[in-house]
Formats: sequence, C-alpha cells, structure tokens
Amino acid sequence: VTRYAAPKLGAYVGLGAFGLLAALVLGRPELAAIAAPFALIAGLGVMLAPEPRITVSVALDRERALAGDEVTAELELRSRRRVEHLEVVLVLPPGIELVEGRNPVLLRLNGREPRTLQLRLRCERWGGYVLGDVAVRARDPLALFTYERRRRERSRLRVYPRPEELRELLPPLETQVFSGNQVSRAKGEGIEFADLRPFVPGDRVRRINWRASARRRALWVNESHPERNTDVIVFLDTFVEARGGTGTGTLDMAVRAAATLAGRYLERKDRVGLVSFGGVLAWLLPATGPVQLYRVVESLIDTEITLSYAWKDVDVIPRRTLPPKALILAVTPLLDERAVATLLDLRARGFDLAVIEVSPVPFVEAGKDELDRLAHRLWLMKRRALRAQYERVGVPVVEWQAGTPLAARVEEVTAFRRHARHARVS
Amino acid sequence: MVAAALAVVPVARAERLIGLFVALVGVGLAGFVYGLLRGRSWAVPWAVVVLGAAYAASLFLPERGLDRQAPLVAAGFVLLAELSYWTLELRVPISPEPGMLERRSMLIAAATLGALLLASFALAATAVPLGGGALADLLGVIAAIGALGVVAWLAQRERAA
Repeated sequence: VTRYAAPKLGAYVGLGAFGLLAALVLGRPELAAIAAPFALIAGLGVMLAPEPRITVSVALDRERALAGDEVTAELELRSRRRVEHLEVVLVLPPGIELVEGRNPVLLRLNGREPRTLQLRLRCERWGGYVLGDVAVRARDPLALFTYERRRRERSRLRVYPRPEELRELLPPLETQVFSGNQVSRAKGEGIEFADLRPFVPGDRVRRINWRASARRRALWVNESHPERNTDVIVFLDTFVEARGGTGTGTLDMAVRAAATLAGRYLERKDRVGLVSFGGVLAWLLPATGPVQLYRVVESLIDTEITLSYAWKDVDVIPRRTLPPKALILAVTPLLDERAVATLLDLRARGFDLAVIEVSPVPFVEAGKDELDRLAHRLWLMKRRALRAQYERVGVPVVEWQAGTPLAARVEEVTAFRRHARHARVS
Repeated sequence: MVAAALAVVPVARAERLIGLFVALVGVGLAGFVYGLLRGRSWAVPWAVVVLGAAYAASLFLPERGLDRQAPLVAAGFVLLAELSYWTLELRVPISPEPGMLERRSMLIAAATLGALLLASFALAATAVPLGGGALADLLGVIAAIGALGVVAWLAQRERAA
C-alpha cells in the first residue's frame, strides 16, 4: 500500500499556519478564528487516519468463452477497518467490455465484512486475456490521506473465435491412404458406387452386378470409391492486416475462418495442421481428434501481427507440416508480397491449394482528392490482376468480406474446382 | 455561490479603496474558477488566501472592533474549501454507490458546522482577559513556527511519496 498525503492536507495545514501567524502579526482574533478550523481538521485527519488493510481477490466464473459471450467477474474486498471512501477499478484489457455493474466504483467498506462486486463482461474479441489487475484507492473520512494499492492476480481467460456457419466443406483433389469420411476419387474398396467393369479372376462374388451381367450376358462387377481421410493445412497469413475504425480487421476474420475450417475438418476425422506464416512462423503438425482442435484454436488465439522485414518463403516452413497430397487452405488478405509468393510457390510444388482472400477493401478508404482515388483504383486493379494470376495456375481465389457468410465463399471454391482443370505450373 | 458570498463580504464592509477590494476578490475568484475548471488543486488554497486577505484588509479599512460575523466567514471558508476539493475529486469519472454522495454531503455539513462552533469558541476565548506580554508573544511565535515546520515536513513527505 502506498500512502500519501492529499493536496488538501498541505493546503489546510498551510492555511491554518498562515492564518494563525497573520492573526498574531496583525493582532486580529478573527483571523485566528478563521484559521483554527483548518488547523483542527488537518490535526484530526493526521490522528484519525489509520492505514486500511484492504485485500482484493478476483474470480471469473469460467476460464474459456467464445467471442461475444459474457462472463462474470467477482471482486471480493475485505478490510480490517471501516473505509469510508474506497475507489475500486478492475482494469479491463482491450477486447473485454463492461456490460453490467459499476467499474470504476466508489463505495464504503465495513471493517471485517467482505464485500462482493459482480461485473458482467463481454468478450468482444478472441484472444488470451489476463484479468485481475485491480487498483484500489482509499481515503480517510476527511480525505486528507490517500492509500493506493494495485493487485495483480492472474485470472486467465481464453476467448475463442466464434465459428462461422459452414455446412459443406471443400473436398480435396486427392485423399490420403487412411480411412475417413471423404469419398476418394480413386477406385477401390468402398461403399460409394463408381463404375462397372468386366469380371476378372480374383474379384469377389458379392461385387458382381447381377442385373448388368444378365443384360450383357457376361459377368460385370461394381467398382466403388473408397472413403479416405484428407490432410488439410490451414495456412494463415499473419504478415500484415488491414484494420478498420470499429476495431475489427482482416486478422480477426482470418482467425475466425481458420478456426471454423479446422473445426469442421476435424469433425470429419481429417487430419488438420496449421501454418501461421508471418513475422513469426508457427506451425502445428497435422493430427486429428478433439485434442488437435484445442491445439489449433489455442495457437490461433495467440496469433498476432509481428512486423518483420525479413524475406520469408516456403523454405522456412518445416517439411513435415506440409504432407504430400494435402489440401492447403490459405486464409490471407493478399497484402504481403512474401505470402503471395509463397502460395504461388506451394502451387508450383504441386500442392492442392485454395485461397480464401479476407478482403481488406472495406477497411481502406478511397481518399478525398483525385490522386488518392486514382491510387485506390490502381490498387484494386492490381488485386484483380493478382487474383487472375492465381486462377491462371488453377488456384481458386474467393473474396470474403465482413458480413457475408463464409459458406458461400467455400461453395464458390468448390464450383471453381468442379469446372477448372488441375493445371501444372512450370 | 459560497465563493461569491465570501467575496461580497469584504467589498460590502470596505468604505475606502473599494476598487482595490474588487480587484483583490476578483483575483481570488478567478484563481478559484481556474483551479476548478482546469483541475488544479493548488489554486484552491491560494484563492482562499486571497479572499482571506481581502477579508483581513476589510477589518482595517476602517479599523473596527471585533467582527461578530467572523465565525460565519470561517464556516464559509471551510465550506468553500471542502466543496472545492470534492469537486476536484469528482472530476475522476467514477460511479458512486447509492448513498455515497449523501454521506459526503453530511460530512461536509458537519465540518462546516464544526468550523462555525470552533470559530465562535475561538472568538469567545479572546474575550477572556488572560493578560499579555513578552511571554505570550513568544508562545505565539513558537506556535506559528511549529505550524510552519509541520507544513514543511508534510510537503517533504508528499514529495518523497
């Protein structure tokens, strides 16, 4: 506890002393009568200002929440002595907003009687937060002394991005060898009907299509597509972001999309990996199951933009994070040259790539004068040319803007791949 | 309002140099308003000192006997100082619990009433003939020096904190 005298104490002592001195010098008892109350209040304040021993504890009703959820913080205050004037503030980090309750609050605390304050907080943005930084300031009844204390408790709150609605997922061009829920394009043992072919020695009898065999007067067997799993790598571009005045930006959207995609693919028993490609490179090797979902989401909420001028390309990404035949879903604002080049490089290496462009356009104003507007138009044209460059090499690029459903954009990618040819890039 | 009332007292009592009194209380009021508007707590005691100086000067122009209204003036100064510091405290955006403002108002009212009683007592005490002389003057000087010493000590503590 830091104790210090309020400016009022010095002023009252000064007024008292000055008045008494003036009364003595001028020989006017009226001045002594005016000065005496100030001196008395100061004296009483010094005598009646014992240090209040205040203890504060903070507890959250849960440790994990989704963006937009509300959590309750409970502040418990105790003091050995009665405190007439106590200011309490729970310092809220950006991204956490107060919904209900008083913060900061001015209250009175009875001695030895705990007091609990409840605050409803809304998690506006995903991320890892540490709550529990509480500042208390107590004053004696005459407000002559101030006691300040800052309590730093570690109440962790993990706020996960709220997932987008997504019913259909993007099917990969090629599947892996393990069983899963994705119908493979290859023919083999499975349930999904693929084709008919003439019987060859070694075929199982139960695969014979008797109706087709009777019609053609020869044995024909059914061929089917096997159900396989896929490897999906979510490639998150964290070099730069565009941020609007409302506090949201392309990174927020990108993290939300990445979490949604990872969650949905993991539900389908696919293996999902994560590459966070930016100033700091972070990755998760592909794996499956709910544990992997937690790993991915925990990794995503620690994502931040780290400024870096160092050139980075596909060589810095560990090889094991990009297994062969993996579907790479890039979530990027397509603002940084390094990410753009790396994605083209991945495509050139034969990876199945789709780009979900988190559009920075709504966050950029065209400008007021003619030159600014011209620059803005040129920038938009350059972005269109970049998209065309991706499409020429067979990479679908869909533009996802805030307020539009991600599902529609994923459907666009599926439609593109249905009609586009799998191109080879030299 | 309290400051205006305290400013009116010396001007109303003065029979000479009214312009000087008006200027003096004007400076006091201006300092007071500046302190409240800009959140400068140091301006409050200086405003009180200037208004108090104007009142002290009014006791001499012309020279009068004991001012029976001095306890009211003393209570007014205490009320002015308390309300000023409270106003400065309220500049911090904070949400008070119900009853906090009322409790503080009661405390200020009690302080004002106490000031009125104390000043009346102090003024009444001057009517008691205790005699005078060098010893009494010496005691007074020692008390004043002691008070200034306390001021200096507190100022030093505040700076150290």
